[in-house]
Formats: sequence, C-alpha cells, structure tokens
Amino acid sequence: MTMTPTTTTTNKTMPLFILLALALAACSNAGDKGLSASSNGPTPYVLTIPARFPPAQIPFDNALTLEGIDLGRRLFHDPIFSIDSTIACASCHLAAAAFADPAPQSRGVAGVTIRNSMPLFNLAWSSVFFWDGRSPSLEDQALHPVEDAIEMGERWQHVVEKLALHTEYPALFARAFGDHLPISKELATQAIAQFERTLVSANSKYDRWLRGELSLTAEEKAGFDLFFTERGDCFHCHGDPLFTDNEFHNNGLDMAPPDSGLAALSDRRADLGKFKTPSLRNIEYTAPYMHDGRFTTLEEVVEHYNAGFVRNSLTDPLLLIRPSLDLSPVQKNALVSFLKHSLTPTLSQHNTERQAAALET
Amino acid sequence: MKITTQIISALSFVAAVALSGCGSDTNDGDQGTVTIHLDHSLAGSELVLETIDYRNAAGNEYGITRLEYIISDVYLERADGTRALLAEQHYRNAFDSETRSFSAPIDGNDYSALVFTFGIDGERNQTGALPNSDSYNNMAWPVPMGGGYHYMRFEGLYNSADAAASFLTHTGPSGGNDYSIDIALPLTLSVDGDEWEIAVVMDPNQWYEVPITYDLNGSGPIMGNPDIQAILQANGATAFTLDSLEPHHHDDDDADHDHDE
Repeated sequence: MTMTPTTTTTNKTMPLFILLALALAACSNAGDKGLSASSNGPTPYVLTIPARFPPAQIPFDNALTLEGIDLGRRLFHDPIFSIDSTIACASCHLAAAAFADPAPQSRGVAGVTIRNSMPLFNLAWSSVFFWDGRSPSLEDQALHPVEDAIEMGERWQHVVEKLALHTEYPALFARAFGDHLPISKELATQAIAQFERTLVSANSKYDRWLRGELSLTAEEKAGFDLFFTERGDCFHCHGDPLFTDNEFHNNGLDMAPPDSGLAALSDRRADLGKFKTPSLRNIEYTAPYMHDGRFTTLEEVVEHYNAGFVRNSLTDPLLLIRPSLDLSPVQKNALVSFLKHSLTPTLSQHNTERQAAALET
Repeated sequence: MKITTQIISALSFVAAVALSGCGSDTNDGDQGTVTIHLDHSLAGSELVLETIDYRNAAGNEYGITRLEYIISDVYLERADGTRALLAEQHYRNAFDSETRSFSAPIDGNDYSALVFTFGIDGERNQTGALPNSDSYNNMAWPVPMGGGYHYMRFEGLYNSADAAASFLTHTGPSGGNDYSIDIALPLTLSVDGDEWEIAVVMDPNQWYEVPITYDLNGSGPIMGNPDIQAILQANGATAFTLDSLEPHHHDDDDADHDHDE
C-alpha cells in the first residue's frame, strides 16, 4: 500500500518547521517490519520537547504512537471527510504555508468561509483552538470542519461508514488503536490530533542565534530589540518561546467588529473582536495575516500596530497605552526583517532538519 | 532599593491553639497543613472584570482587564525568626479561581507572621528561573530589558478625554534594579497536626496611593521607568493585608490542592 500523502505535491519550498520525516519514517517502519493489528500494539512515540518550550500538553487517553501519527497523517490529507471528496484538512492547511492557507478566507465544499485557516504547528503547547477558542482540545477541534456546511458539508456517521468500507483504513485503525475498537469519529480525530502534535517548529534562525550558532544581521538584531522592548512592544502577546501567549486579544482591527470572535462563546461585550494570538514563528509562510486574512504583507501588519489600529473600549490596553508606536521607516524595516528572516526558517535549515529527523527515526 | 514592610496595622488574629504548648516557641506538635488564599477587594467588594467602576486616589475612574502577579519565597515565620517554607513561588490571576490557593504541609509549631516576596527577589529573578508554563512565561520580563519576570501585570481602561485610554501597571526589575517587596503579615498560629486556612487580600487601589498618589493620566508604558517602579514599590507595601485565619472546614469543596510547584 502506498504511504504517500494523497494531496498534490507542490514545488513550493517546504519549510523547516515540518517534522514530516517522523511520519515518513513511521511509514517506512510499517512497511519494513510488517506491522499489523496483531503485532505487539502501537509503538509509543516520545515527542521531543524543544529547548525553552514548556511541557507538551498531550491527553492521557491519546498518547502518541508511530501508528497513530501515521494514520493521522493519512487522514489529514484525505478528502474522504468531505461530502464530495474534494476537501481534505490539508486543502486549507497547506504544508508549504506552515499548514495555513494562502487564501485570505479558506474555501470549502460550499463556498468561502469567513476566516483564514490558522497555521498548524506547536499545537501540543496550546489548550484552546480556533480563532475564537471554541475547542478545548485538538481532538475536539478536528470534529468541527467535517459537519460545517461550508467547509466539508459531511456527516460524521457517513464518514465513519466510508472509513469502515475503505480498503486500507480498517487495518490502519486497528494497527493504531487495536482491533477491539470500531472505527469512530473519536478515533479518527485522535489520530489527526496525534499527527498535528508532531508538527513542531523550534529551530528558526532566532533559536540558533540564542544557542550561539550564528549571528543576526544588524537589522535583524535591531528588530529583535524593538520586538522585545516597550519600543515595539510585541513581546507581551508574542513572547518567547512560543511567540504566542495562547490568549485572546482585540487588536483594533475594526471599530465595530463584524466577526464577534471570542464573544460568540462568552457572550460578553468586552470579548467582541477578540481572537487567539497566532504564533509568529514561520510568519512569512503564513500570509495573509489576521483572522480574516486582510493583510497581505508583514509591512502592512507592522504598520497596523504602528499607527493603524482603531481606538475604542474594545481595543486591548496593550495597544491603547500610546497614541502610536511612532516607528521610523528604518525601525519598521528592522521589525519586518526580524520576523521574516529570524523567525522564519530557511530552505537550507529545513533540509538539514529533515535529514536529521530521518536519521533519528 | 528593596524595602521590608511590616504591616503593623494588620489585625491580630488569635488562632484556636493546640491543647498543649499554648504560646510557646517550643511547640513540637504534629505536622499540619496550611492553605493560603489570595483574594482581592476594591471598594469593599470582590473585583469585577472590565467594568469601569473603580476610582483611585487621583480620581481616575477605571476598570480592570487583567490582574496577574507572582509572589515568591512564601514562609510562615516563628518569633525567633526561623522560617518554614510554604511555596517557592505562586502565580495568581485575579480572574482565574484555579490560581487562588495553594497548600503546603507545615511543621507543628507556633508562628508569628506570614512572609513573602511580592514579585521575585532580584538575584533569583532571572529568565528561566520559574516553572516553564504559559502562566509564568507570559509574565516574562524580556531579556533586552534585563530579563526575569514581571512582578505584576495590572491592566485596564480609564475614563479620559480620549476616546479610549488604558493603563499598564507593569511592575518588575526595571533598569536592572530590584523593586520586589518583602511583605510580612503578623499573625498568631499554633500548628499541631491540624489544617489552617489563611486568606490574604490585595486592594488594587493601594498601588495608586500612600505614600505617593499615582495618576493614570499619561502614565504610558512604565517598564523602562525606574522612578515609577520605585513609586509603585513604595505604594505596594500596603497592598496586602491579612483577611482571615481559621481552621480548615472539610465541608468546603475548594481548590486547596492547587499548590503551584
């Protein structure tokens, strides 16, 4: 059986952050060792915790296994979840875009959604998911798109039937979870969550600089200093090491937010227009920016925080504290340089890491 | 620049003492348990998130959107000055009840004060020194500003002539100086195998008055302003008081076991 992702490959640069070598190696192991449902059970996989990262948040009832991760990778790339077999998770979460979507609003089976797909990496270090935080776990998050009328338009019951009748999935589920459990939406989303938790991004130029392995350019260093001081004041929401506080903020995009954000869940006026802080790692790959993809470039993003945000009682106090950042063009360029070059891995780094990961596994 | 403050105005709480060793410094009673609760009170009421309903000494009408802080080196102190550790550090988010309390076993003995550092002592306040979690990491004082951790992030909005105005009362090791505060709350506690609850209350308005009235108007970002940090350090010395000391009620279903490392 083929273990190749079913999505169309792209010659766009595959960024460093993706540790797909892990999943690929799991496939190789499966083939080489002839793993089956009757073998010694799934093989535990220990997620490597990058330097400075907190402990990973992995549910006790969904420990990582090579077989579970492999199944999750297969499912992630399979359009079987959509009603017309056209949309997979990977359709809106492209590997080449740090598993985000280059389209401002993602397209599903029934049109365009209202939000830009969030990038997927370092998800083992978060406990709230979606821009509006409506899911408390990755397992829960993966349930939603299937039955969203615009995204996949399918019913889970039908998906489970399709998986059970598939020529390969019954064996893959049995290999990942044992043959005593029937295929279910819970097992499918557990596998997808396992795969997603292996998408780790922690080896940017910035990380290597902290380790003393290289130098930042003078411009990048100037950007770093702006980023991590009150002068640019990015760090309060995008601090080291995750570059997200995993919290929700109204960053002054609209005087009257057309998308309620967190308030849709909390039913609190003060939460109107609050969205989850995205990580700034891999930031150049994840364009366009903001929950609705309104900004095409990092220059636009920096200008928004410099002087473009609206001022009302919904805007976060971290922005309202000053009339504007009043950054000079040189300073704005420095910030963009730090974001683009220090927080976004390069092709050569990516290749090195993939090779290293392949050797390890 | 660090100051030590004796809260001489604190009420004297007389614990129900053990049957033996009453008032003695040589109590060798059984190990007990102490739970510390960190509460907040403004204008005589519990804090309400975000509503602009408060007024400080400068006359600023304000609302709170965030109140998070770290206390560290939490001890019960005996009359002879020796101490028993309760917690190396604790993170408190005033609007997250799971962070309200922490518990620790405590030697049977007589104690005369609860002492702790508001923030983190200067030598210890280094990046990476505290537990590696979002709670502590989001309190990081960035390395280019000296490293370590904020002591407090106290944020909100206040009424002004502007369409919207905010304050960020962020305290920490500005300019490489230590502005943490040693708090000592006198009490009388005799532990002998029993369980006790100590409620400490912070009045956020105290950060803005006595000895120096602090006006939110035009306060701006203050992390890089040692002069303002010194004012807040002085004002904050009276921010915490002892609210209650009483035996643990086993009927209560509270968060006594949220000891934060």
